[in-house]
Amino acid sequence: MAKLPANVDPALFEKVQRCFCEALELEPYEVQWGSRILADLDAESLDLLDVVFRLEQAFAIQIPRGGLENQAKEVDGEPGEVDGKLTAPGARRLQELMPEVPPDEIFEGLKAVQIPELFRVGTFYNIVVALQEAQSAE
Amino acid sequence: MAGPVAAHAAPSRFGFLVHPLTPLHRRVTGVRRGHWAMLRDGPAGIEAVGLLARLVIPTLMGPAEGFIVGVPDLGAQLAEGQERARVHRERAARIAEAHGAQVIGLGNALAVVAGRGQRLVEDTGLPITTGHAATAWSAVEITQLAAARHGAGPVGVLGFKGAVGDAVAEGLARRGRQVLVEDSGPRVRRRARELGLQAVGQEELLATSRYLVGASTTGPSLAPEALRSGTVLIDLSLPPTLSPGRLPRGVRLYAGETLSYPETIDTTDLWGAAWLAFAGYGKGVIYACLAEPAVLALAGLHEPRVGRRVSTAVVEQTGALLTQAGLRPALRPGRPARQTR
Repeated sequence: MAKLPANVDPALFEKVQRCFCEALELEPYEVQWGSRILADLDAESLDLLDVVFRLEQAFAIQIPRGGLENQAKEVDGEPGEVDGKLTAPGARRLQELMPEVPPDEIFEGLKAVQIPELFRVGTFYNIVVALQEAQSAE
Repeated sequence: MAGPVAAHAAPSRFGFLVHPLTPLHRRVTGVRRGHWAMLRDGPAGIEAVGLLARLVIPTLMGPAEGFIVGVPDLGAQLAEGQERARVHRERAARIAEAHGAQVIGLGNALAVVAGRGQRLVEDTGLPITTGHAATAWSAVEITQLAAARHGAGPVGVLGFKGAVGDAVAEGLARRGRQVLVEDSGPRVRRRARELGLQAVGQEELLATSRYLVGASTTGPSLAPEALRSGTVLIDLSLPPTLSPGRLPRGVRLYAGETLSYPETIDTTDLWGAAWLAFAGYGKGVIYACLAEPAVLALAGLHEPRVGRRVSTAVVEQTGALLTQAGLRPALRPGRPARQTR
Protein backbone atom coordinates (compact mmCIF):
# COMPACT_ATOMS: atom_id res chain seq x y z
CA MET A 1 0.00 0.00 0.00
CA ALA A 2 1.29 3.47 -0.86
CA LYS A 3 2.04 5.75 2.06
CA LEU A 4 -0.96 7.28 3.78
CA PRO A 5 -1.02 10.78 5.30
CA ALA A 6 0.13 10.73 8.95
CA ASN A 7 -3.32 11.39 10.43
CA VAL A 8 -5.04 8.55 8.57
CA ASP A 9 -6.08 5.39 10.42
CA PRO A 10 -4.81 2.50 8.24
CA ALA A 11 -7.49 0.07 9.44
CA LEU A 12 -10.28 2.49 8.66
CA PHE A 13 -8.75 3.32 5.29
CA GLU A 14 -8.55 -0.37 4.48
CA LYS A 15 -12.28 -0.68 5.15
CA VAL A 16 -12.98 2.27 2.84
CA GLN A 17 -10.66 0.76 0.26
CA ARG A 18 -12.56 -2.54 0.44
CA CYS A 19 -15.83 -0.76 -0.38
CA PHE A 20 -14.23 0.69 -3.52
CA CYS A 21 -12.73 -2.66 -4.49
CA GLU A 22 -16.09 -4.44 -4.19
CA ALA A 23 -18.05 -1.76 -6.03
CA LEU A 24 -15.57 -1.32 -8.87
CA GLU A 25 -14.18 -4.85 -9.02
CA LEU A 26 -10.64 -3.67 -8.40
CA GLU A 27 -7.64 -4.99 -6.47
CA PRO A 28 -6.57 -3.10 -3.33
CA TYR A 29 -3.30 -1.97 -4.93
CA GLU A 30 -5.35 -0.12 -7.55
CA VAL A 31 -7.25 1.89 -4.94
CA GLN A 32 -4.86 4.38 -3.36
CA TRP A 33 -5.43 7.37 -1.11
CA GLY A 34 -4.89 9.84 -3.96
CA SER A 35 -6.61 7.86 -6.76
CA ARG A 36 -9.07 10.01 -8.70
CA ILE A 37 -12.30 8.06 -8.68
CA LEU A 38 -13.61 8.93 -12.12
CA ALA A 39 -10.35 9.24 -14.05
CA ASP A 40 -7.98 6.77 -12.36
CA LEU A 41 -10.45 4.15 -11.16
CA ASP A 42 -12.61 4.61 -14.24
CA ALA A 43 -15.80 4.76 -12.23
CA GLU A 44 -19.01 6.07 -13.75
CA SER A 45 -21.42 8.18 -11.76
CA LEU A 46 -23.58 5.17 -10.88
CA ASP A 47 -20.51 3.52 -9.40
CA LEU A 48 -20.31 6.43 -6.97
CA LEU A 49 -23.83 5.57 -5.87
CA ASP A 50 -22.73 1.99 -5.26
CA VAL A 51 -19.63 3.09 -3.34
CA VAL A 52 -21.76 5.40 -1.17
CA PHE A 53 -24.18 2.55 -0.41
CA ARG A 54 -21.36 0.21 0.56
CA LEU A 55 -19.78 2.86 2.80
CA GLU A 56 -23.15 3.57 4.42
CA GLN A 57 -23.63 -0.12 5.14
CA ALA A 58 -20.06 -0.72 6.32
CA PHE A 59 -19.96 2.26 8.71
CA ALA A 60 -23.68 2.59 9.62
CA ILE A 61 -23.79 6.19 8.41
CA GLN A 62 -25.85 8.12 5.87
CA ILE A 63 -23.88 10.16 3.36
CA PRO A 64 -25.92 13.14 2.11
CA ARG A 65 -25.86 13.63 -1.67
CA GLY A 66 -23.93 16.70 -2.80
CA GLY A 67 -22.80 17.35 0.76
CA LEU A 68 -19.43 18.88 -0.11
CA GLU A 69 -20.76 21.09 -2.90
CA ASN A 70 -23.62 22.27 -0.71
CA GLN A 71 -21.23 23.29 2.07
CA ALA A 72 -19.36 25.51 -0.36
CA LYS A 73 -22.44 27.17 -1.87
CA GLU A 74 -22.37 30.01 0.63
CA VAL A 75 -19.30 31.17 2.53
CA ASP A 76 -19.65 33.76 5.31
CA GLY A 77 -22.67 35.30 3.63
CA GLU A 78 -21.05 35.41 0.19
CA PRO A 79 -22.05 33.15 -2.67
CA GLY A 80 -19.66 30.27 -3.20
CA GLU A 81 -21.03 29.63 -6.66
CA VAL A 82 -22.37 31.93 -9.36
CA ASP A 83 -23.78 30.70 -12.69
CA GLY A 84 -22.61 27.18 -11.91
CA LYS A 85 -18.99 28.26 -11.30
CA LEU A 86 -17.01 28.56 -8.06
CA THR A 87 -16.31 32.03 -6.74
CA ALA A 88 -13.01 32.78 -4.96
CA PRO A 89 -14.55 32.22 -1.49
CA GLY A 90 -16.24 29.05 -2.77
CA ALA A 91 -12.93 27.73 -4.08
CA ARG A 92 -11.17 28.52 -0.79
CA ARG A 93 -13.90 26.77 1.20
CA LEU A 94 -13.73 23.71 -1.01
CA GLN A 95 -9.95 23.61 -0.63
CA GLU A 96 -10.47 23.48 3.14
CA LEU A 97 -13.12 20.77 2.84
CA MET A 98 -11.04 18.65 0.47
CA PRO A 99 -7.46 18.75 1.76
CA GLU A 100 -6.68 15.51 -0.09
CA VAL A 101 -7.05 17.31 -3.44
CA PRO A 102 -4.06 19.41 -4.59
CA PRO A 103 -5.14 23.04 -4.02
CA ASP A 104 -4.31 24.13 -7.57
CA GLU A 105 -7.05 21.85 -8.88
CA ILE A 106 -9.70 23.89 -7.03
CA PHE A 107 -9.88 27.41 -8.40
CA GLU A 108 -12.22 30.32 -8.99
CA GLY A 109 -14.23 29.67 -12.13
CA LEU A 110 -14.21 25.86 -11.79
CA LYS A 111 -17.58 24.53 -12.94
CA ALA A 112 -19.61 22.98 -10.12
CA VAL A 113 -20.40 19.98 -12.32
CA GLN A 114 -16.66 19.27 -12.49
CA ILE A 115 -16.30 18.91 -8.72
CA PRO A 116 -16.94 15.11 -8.74
CA GLU A 117 -13.93 14.80 -11.08
CA LEU A 118 -11.77 15.99 -8.17
CA PHE A 119 -12.92 13.26 -5.78
CA ARG A 120 -10.17 11.03 -4.46
CA VAL A 121 -10.50 7.86 -2.43
CA GLY A 122 -9.26 10.02 0.45
CA THR A 123 -12.27 12.31 -0.04
CA PHE A 124 -14.57 9.48 1.00
CA TYR A 125 -12.33 8.50 3.90
CA ASN A 126 -12.60 12.07 5.18
CA ILE A 127 -16.40 12.05 4.71
CA VAL A 128 -16.67 8.83 6.72
CA VAL A 129 -14.50 10.22 9.52
CA ALA A 130 -16.49 13.48 9.63
CA LEU A 131 -19.82 11.64 9.79
CA GLN A 132 -18.56 9.25 12.47
CA GLU A 133 -17.34 12.19 14.55
CA ALA A 134 -20.68 13.94 14.12
CA GLN A 135 -22.48 10.76 15.23
CA SER A 136 -20.39 10.37 18.36
CA ALA A 137 -20.89 14.05 19.22
CA GLU A 138 -24.68 13.57 19.23
CA MET B 1 -47.26 -9.89 -37.92
CA ALA B 2 -47.37 -13.56 -37.00
CA GLY B 3 -50.65 -15.37 -36.59
CA PRO B 4 -52.37 -16.18 -33.31
CA VAL B 5 -50.19 -17.78 -30.70
CA ALA B 6 -51.32 -21.03 -29.16
CA ALA B 7 -51.91 -20.41 -25.47
CA HIS B 8 -50.10 -22.76 -23.13
CA ALA B 9 -52.02 -24.29 -20.27
CA ALA B 10 -49.84 -22.67 -17.61
CA PRO B 11 -48.10 -19.50 -18.72
CA SER B 12 -44.58 -18.76 -17.61
CA ARG B 13 -44.53 -16.02 -15.02
CA PHE B 14 -42.15 -13.16 -14.41
CA GLY B 15 -42.00 -10.13 -12.17
CA PHE B 16 -40.87 -6.62 -13.02
CA LEU B 17 -40.07 -4.16 -10.26
CA VAL B 18 -40.60 -0.49 -11.00
CA HIS B 19 -40.67 2.94 -9.41
CA PRO B 20 -42.60 6.04 -10.50
CA LEU B 21 -40.75 8.09 -13.11
CA THR B 22 -42.44 11.43 -12.40
CA PRO B 23 -44.49 12.99 -9.57
CA LEU B 24 -47.65 12.53 -11.70
CA HIS B 25 -46.80 8.89 -12.20
CA ARG B 26 -46.35 8.58 -8.42
CA ARG B 27 -49.82 10.04 -7.79
CA VAL B 28 -51.35 7.50 -10.18
CA THR B 29 -49.44 4.77 -8.35
CA GLY B 30 -50.99 6.09 -5.13
CA VAL B 31 -54.49 5.73 -6.63
CA ARG B 32 -53.69 2.19 -7.76
CA ARG B 33 -52.42 1.25 -4.32
CA GLY B 34 -55.17 3.13 -2.48
CA HIS B 35 -52.44 5.09 -0.72
CA TRP B 36 -54.03 8.51 -0.72
CA ALA B 37 -51.10 10.39 0.83
CA MET B 38 -49.23 9.78 -2.44
CA LEU B 39 -51.94 11.74 -4.26
CA ARG B 40 -50.83 14.80 -2.28
CA ASP B 41 -47.14 13.98 -2.90
CA GLY B 42 -46.94 12.84 0.72
CA PRO B 43 -44.67 10.18 2.19
CA ALA B 44 -45.29 6.49 1.67
CA GLY B 45 -43.87 3.62 3.63
CA ILE B 46 -43.37 -0.04 2.89
CA GLU B 47 -47.16 -0.63 2.89
CA ALA B 48 -47.28 1.30 -0.41
CA VAL B 49 -45.12 -1.35 -2.10
CA GLY B 50 -47.41 -3.63 -4.07
CA LEU B 51 -48.81 -5.03 -7.27
CA LEU B 52 -49.53 -2.37 -9.90
CA ALA B 53 -50.51 -4.41 -12.92
CA ARG B 54 -50.71 -7.81 -14.50
CA LEU B 55 -50.01 -8.17 -18.19
CA VAL B 56 -49.56 -11.00 -20.62
CA ILE B 57 -46.96 -10.69 -23.36
CA PRO B 58 -47.85 -12.86 -26.34
CA THR B 59 -44.80 -14.57 -27.80
CA LEU B 60 -44.05 -17.39 -30.19
CA MET B 61 -42.80 -19.38 -27.18
CA GLY B 62 -46.18 -18.96 -25.48
CA PRO B 63 -47.66 -16.27 -23.28
CA ALA B 64 -45.53 -14.74 -20.56
CA GLU B 65 -47.58 -13.52 -17.65
CA GLY B 66 -45.98 -10.54 -15.95
CA PHE B 67 -46.59 -9.00 -12.54
CA ILE B 68 -45.55 -5.36 -12.28
CA VAL B 69 -44.73 -4.52 -8.68
CA GLY B 70 -44.08 -0.92 -7.69
CA VAL B 71 -42.23 0.87 -4.92
CA PRO B 72 -43.45 4.36 -4.02
CA ASP B 73 -40.24 6.41 -4.30
CA LEU B 74 -39.04 8.35 -7.32
CA GLY B 75 -35.56 7.65 -8.71
CA ALA B 76 -33.96 10.58 -6.86
CA GLN B 77 -35.52 9.46 -3.58
CA LEU B 78 -34.23 5.93 -4.08
CA ALA B 79 -30.72 7.30 -4.59
CA GLU B 80 -31.02 9.57 -1.55
CA GLY B 81 -32.12 6.79 0.83
CA GLN B 82 -30.53 3.60 -0.42
CA GLU B 83 -31.17 1.52 2.70
CA ARG B 84 -34.87 2.33 2.44
CA ALA B 85 -34.67 1.51 -1.28
CA ARG B 86 -33.10 -1.85 -0.44
CA VAL B 87 -35.90 -2.72 1.97
CA HIS B 88 -38.69 -1.62 -0.42
CA ARG B 89 -37.10 -3.45 -3.35
CA GLU B 90 -36.80 -6.66 -1.37
CA ARG B 91 -40.47 -6.41 -0.36
CA ALA B 92 -41.41 -5.89 -4.02
CA ALA B 93 -39.40 -8.94 -5.04
CA ARG B 94 -41.14 -11.06 -2.41
CA ILE B 95 -44.53 -9.92 -3.72
CA ALA B 96 -43.54 -10.93 -7.26
CA GLU B 97 -42.33 -14.28 -5.92
CA ALA B 98 -45.66 -14.79 -4.15
CA HIS B 99 -47.41 -14.32 -7.51
CA GLY B 100 -45.34 -17.13 -8.93
CA ALA B 101 -42.69 -15.11 -10.77
CA GLN B 102 -39.91 -17.43 -11.91
CA VAL B 103 -37.59 -14.57 -12.91
CA ILE B 104 -37.69 -10.98 -11.70
CA GLY B 105 -36.51 -7.96 -13.70
CA LEU B 106 -35.43 -4.62 -12.27
CA GLY B 107 -36.68 -1.43 -13.88
CA ASN B 108 -34.63 1.75 -14.21
CA ALA B 109 -33.11 2.98 -10.90
CA LEU B 110 -34.01 -0.22 -9.05
CA ALA B 111 -31.25 -1.94 -11.02
CA VAL B 112 -28.59 0.46 -9.82
CA VAL B 113 -29.36 1.64 -6.28
CA ALA B 114 -28.65 -0.17 -3.01
CA GLY B 115 -25.84 -2.43 -4.16
CA ARG B 116 -27.39 -3.04 -7.61
CA GLY B 117 -29.20 -6.29 -8.35
CA GLN B 118 -26.37 -8.23 -6.76
CA ARG B 119 -27.45 -7.20 -3.27
CA LEU B 120 -31.04 -8.25 -3.94
CA VAL B 121 -29.83 -11.68 -5.04
CA GLU B 122 -27.73 -11.97 -1.86
CA ASP B 123 -30.67 -10.91 0.31
CA THR B 124 -33.33 -13.09 -1.31
CA GLY B 125 -31.69 -15.82 -3.38
CA LEU B 126 -34.19 -15.05 -6.15
CA PRO B 127 -33.35 -15.10 -9.90
CA ILE B 128 -33.01 -11.37 -10.56
CA THR B 129 -32.06 -9.79 -13.88
CA THR B 130 -31.10 -6.22 -14.70
CA GLY B 131 -32.21 -6.66 -18.32
CA HIS B 132 -28.86 -5.36 -19.56
CA ALA B 133 -28.33 -8.23 -22.00
CA ALA B 134 -31.63 -7.70 -23.83
CA THR B 135 -31.10 -3.95 -23.82
CA ALA B 136 -27.62 -4.25 -25.32
CA TRP B 137 -28.71 -6.76 -27.95
CA SER B 138 -31.68 -4.59 -28.99
CA ALA B 139 -29.50 -1.50 -29.28
CA VAL B 140 -27.04 -3.31 -31.52
CA GLU B 141 -29.81 -4.67 -33.75
CA ILE B 142 -31.63 -1.33 -33.91
CA THR B 143 -28.38 0.39 -34.88
CA GLN B 144 -28.02 -2.18 -37.67
CA LEU B 145 -31.62 -1.52 -38.79
CA ALA B 146 -30.90 2.21 -38.83
CA ALA B 147 -27.80 1.62 -40.93
CA ALA B 148 -29.83 -0.45 -43.39
CA ARG B 149 -32.20 2.51 -43.76
CA HIS B 150 -29.77 5.44 -43.68
CA GLY B 151 -26.48 3.97 -44.92
CA ALA B 152 -23.22 2.88 -43.33
CA GLY B 153 -20.95 4.95 -41.13
CA PRO B 154 -18.93 4.96 -37.93
CA VAL B 155 -20.76 4.51 -34.62
CA GLY B 156 -19.93 6.48 -31.49
CA VAL B 157 -20.99 4.85 -28.23
CA LEU B 158 -21.70 7.23 -25.34
CA GLY B 159 -21.53 5.65 -21.89
CA PHE B 160 -18.91 3.02 -22.75
CA LYS B 161 -17.93 2.78 -19.06
CA GLY B 162 -21.30 1.27 -18.21
CA ALA B 163 -22.35 -2.37 -18.60
CA VAL B 164 -24.73 -1.72 -21.50
CA GLY B 165 -22.43 0.73 -23.31
CA ASP B 166 -19.58 -1.75 -23.12
CA ALA B 167 -21.71 -4.61 -24.45
CA VAL B 168 -23.16 -2.47 -27.25
CA ALA B 169 -19.71 -1.33 -28.38
CA GLU B 170 -18.44 -4.91 -28.40
CA GLY B 171 -21.52 -6.17 -30.24
CA LEU B 172 -21.24 -3.54 -32.96
CA ALA B 173 -17.51 -4.16 -33.37
CA ARG B 174 -18.21 -7.88 -33.75
CA ARG B 175 -20.62 -7.04 -36.56
CA GLY B 176 -17.83 -5.23 -38.35
CA ARG B 177 -18.82 -1.67 -37.50
CA GLN B 178 -16.21 1.00 -36.89
CA VAL B 179 -16.81 1.98 -33.26
CA LEU B 180 -15.59 5.04 -31.38
CA VAL B 181 -15.80 5.58 -27.63
CA GLU B 182 -15.02 8.53 -25.43
CA ASP B 183 -11.49 8.46 -24.03
CA SER B 184 -11.95 9.08 -20.33
CA GLY B 185 -8.92 7.40 -18.80
CA PRO B 186 -6.37 4.61 -18.96
CA ARG B 187 -8.80 1.79 -18.19
CA VAL B 188 -11.13 2.91 -20.98
CA ARG B 189 -8.19 3.04 -23.40
CA ARG B 190 -7.11 -0.47 -22.38
CA ARG B 191 -10.63 -1.88 -22.80
CA ALA B 192 -11.02 -0.10 -26.15
CA ARG B 193 -7.77 -1.66 -27.36
CA GLU B 194 -8.98 -5.14 -26.31
CA LEU B 195 -12.14 -4.73 -28.36
CA GLY B 196 -10.51 -3.01 -31.34
CA LEU B 197 -12.32 0.31 -30.79
CA GLN B 198 -11.04 3.85 -31.18
CA ALA B 199 -10.89 5.92 -27.97
CA VAL B 200 -11.11 9.61 -28.89
CA GLY B 201 -12.12 12.92 -27.33
CA GLN B 202 -15.80 13.80 -27.26
CA GLU B 203 -15.45 16.49 -29.92
CA GLU B 204 -13.85 14.06 -32.36
CA LEU B 205 -16.39 11.38 -31.49
CA LEU B 206 -19.29 13.70 -32.33
CA ALA B 207 -17.63 15.01 -35.47
CA THR B 208 -16.72 11.56 -36.83
CA SER B 209 -19.70 9.42 -35.89
CA ARG B 210 -22.58 9.09 -38.34
CA TYR B 211 -24.43 7.06 -35.69
CA LEU B 212 -24.48 7.63 -31.96
CA VAL B 213 -25.71 5.17 -29.37
CA GLY B 214 -26.66 6.94 -26.14
CA ALA B 215 -26.00 4.48 -23.33
CA SER B 216 -24.95 6.87 -20.58
CA THR B 217 -26.12 5.81 -17.17
CA THR B 218 -26.96 9.35 -16.16
CA GLY B 219 -28.27 11.99 -18.46
CA PRO B 220 -28.70 14.32 -20.12
CA SER B 221 -25.13 14.37 -21.33
CA LEU B 222 -25.40 16.31 -24.60
CA ALA B 223 -27.03 19.50 -25.82
CA PRO B 224 -29.03 18.85 -29.03
CA GLU B 225 -27.02 21.52 -30.87
CA ALA B 226 -23.85 19.51 -30.25
CA LEU B 227 -25.01 17.02 -32.90
CA ARG B 228 -24.07 17.67 -36.52
CA SER B 229 -26.62 17.39 -39.30
CA GLY B 230 -26.91 13.84 -40.58
CA THR B 231 -26.34 12.25 -37.18
CA VAL B 232 -28.58 9.32 -36.25
CA LEU B 233 -28.98 8.95 -32.48
CA ILE B 234 -30.16 5.64 -31.07
CA ASP B 235 -31.01 6.45 -27.49
CA LEU B 236 -31.15 4.01 -24.61
CA SER B 237 -30.65 6.44 -21.79
CA LEU B 238 -33.14 7.45 -19.16
CA PRO B 239 -33.11 10.38 -18.60
CA PRO B 240 -32.50 10.84 -22.34
CA THR B 241 -29.05 11.58 -23.74
CA LEU B 242 -30.08 14.99 -25.05
CA SER B 243 -30.99 17.87 -22.80
CA PRO B 244 -34.35 19.50 -23.58
CA GLY B 245 -34.38 21.50 -26.79
CA ARG B 246 -35.20 21.30 -30.46
CA LEU B 247 -33.54 18.55 -32.44
CA PRO B 248 -31.28 20.20 -35.07
CA ARG B 249 -32.33 19.82 -38.72
CA GLY B 250 -31.07 16.63 -40.29
CA VAL B 251 -30.65 14.78 -36.97
CA ARG B 252 -32.69 11.62 -36.49
CA LEU B 253 -33.59 10.10 -33.14
CA TYR B 254 -34.64 6.50 -32.54
CA ALA B 255 -35.58 4.68 -29.35
CA GLY B 256 -32.84 2.20 -28.58
CA GLU B 257 -34.59 -0.78 -27.00
CA THR B 258 -38.04 -1.19 -28.51
CA LEU B 259 -39.16 -4.68 -29.46
CA SER B 260 -42.33 -5.51 -31.35
CA TYR B 261 -44.29 -8.59 -30.32
CA PRO B 262 -46.75 -10.78 -32.22
CA GLU B 263 -50.10 -9.01 -31.78
CA THR B 264 -52.43 -11.84 -31.05
CA ILE B 265 -53.78 -12.89 -27.71
CA ASP B 266 -54.91 -11.07 -24.61
CA THR B 267 -52.54 -8.25 -23.80
CA THR B 268 -53.32 -6.50 -20.57
CA ASP B 269 -55.81 -5.85 -17.81
CA LEU B 270 -56.95 -2.25 -17.25
CA TRP B 271 -54.07 -1.40 -14.92
CA GLY B 272 -51.65 -3.20 -17.21
CA ALA B 273 -52.70 -0.97 -20.08
CA ALA B 274 -52.48 2.10 -17.85
CA TRP B 275 -49.00 1.12 -16.67
CA LEU B 276 -47.77 0.55 -20.22
CA ALA B 277 -49.08 3.97 -21.24
CA PHE B 278 -47.54 5.79 -18.27
CA ALA B 279 -44.23 4.04 -18.76
CA GLY B 280 -44.15 5.29 -22.36
CA TYR B 281 -44.60 1.99 -24.23
CA GLY B 282 -45.95 2.54 -27.74
CA LYS B 283 -48.56 0.39 -29.45
CA GLY B 284 -47.34 -3.11 -30.20
CA VAL B 285 -43.94 -2.65 -28.59
CA ILE B 286 -42.28 -3.30 -25.27
CA TYR B 287 -38.86 -2.34 -23.99
CA ALA B 288 -36.11 -4.90 -23.88
CA CYS B 289 -35.58 -4.64 -20.12
CA LEU B 290 -39.16 -5.90 -19.64
CA ALA B 291 -38.74 -8.57 -22.30
CA GLU B 292 -35.66 -10.16 -20.72
CA PRO B 293 -37.30 -11.62 -17.60
CA ALA B 294 -40.22 -12.72 -19.79
CA VAL B 295 -38.09 -14.78 -22.19
CA LEU B 296 -35.91 -16.14 -19.38
CA ALA B 297 -39.06 -17.40 -17.66
CA LEU B 298 -40.33 -18.88 -20.94
CA ALA B 299 -37.00 -20.62 -21.54
CA GLY B 300 -36.83 -21.97 -17.99
CA LEU B 301 -33.62 -20.06 -17.31
CA HIS B 302 -34.30 -19.23 -13.69
CA GLU B 303 -30.92 -17.78 -12.80
CA PRO B 304 -29.65 -14.38 -11.67
CA ARG B 305 -28.04 -11.96 -14.14
CA VAL B 306 -26.82 -9.03 -12.13
CA GLY B 307 -23.09 -8.55 -12.70
CA ARG B 308 -21.40 -5.21 -13.31
CA ARG B 309 -20.57 -6.44 -16.81
CA VAL B 310 -22.59 -8.46 -19.28
CA SER B 311 -20.72 -10.92 -21.46
CA THR B 312 -21.10 -11.24 -25.21
CA ALA B 313 -22.20 -14.86 -24.78
CA VAL B 314 -25.08 -13.82 -22.53
CA VAL B 315 -26.06 -10.99 -24.87
CA GLU B 316 -26.13 -13.32 -27.87
CA GLN B 317 -28.01 -16.03 -25.95
CA THR B 318 -30.61 -13.47 -24.92
CA GLY B 319 -30.87 -12.21 -28.48
CA ALA B 320 -31.49 -15.76 -29.68
CA LEU B 321 -34.27 -16.20 -27.10
CA LEU B 322 -35.91 -12.89 -28.04
CA THR B 323 -35.82 -13.93 -31.70
CA GLN B 324 -37.28 -17.33 -30.88
CA ALA B 325 -40.05 -15.60 -28.95
CA GLY B 326 -40.83 -13.39 -31.94
CA LEU B 327 -39.79 -10.22 -30.12
CA ARG B 328 -38.14 -8.24 -32.88
CA PRO B 329 -36.12 -5.03 -32.72
CA ALA B 330 -38.26 -2.17 -33.99
CA LEU B 331 -37.03 1.10 -35.44
CA ARG B 332 -39.29 3.62 -33.70
CA PRO B 333 -38.76 7.37 -33.30
CA GLY B 334 -37.41 8.48 -29.96
CA ARG B 335 -38.72 11.45 -28.09
CA PRO B 336 -36.21 14.13 -27.07
CA ALA B 337 -36.22 15.01 -23.37
CA ARG B 338 -39.64 13.44 -22.81
CA GLN B 339 -38.58 9.86 -23.25
CA THR B 340 -39.94 7.67 -20.52
CA ARG B 341 -39.90 3.99 -20.00
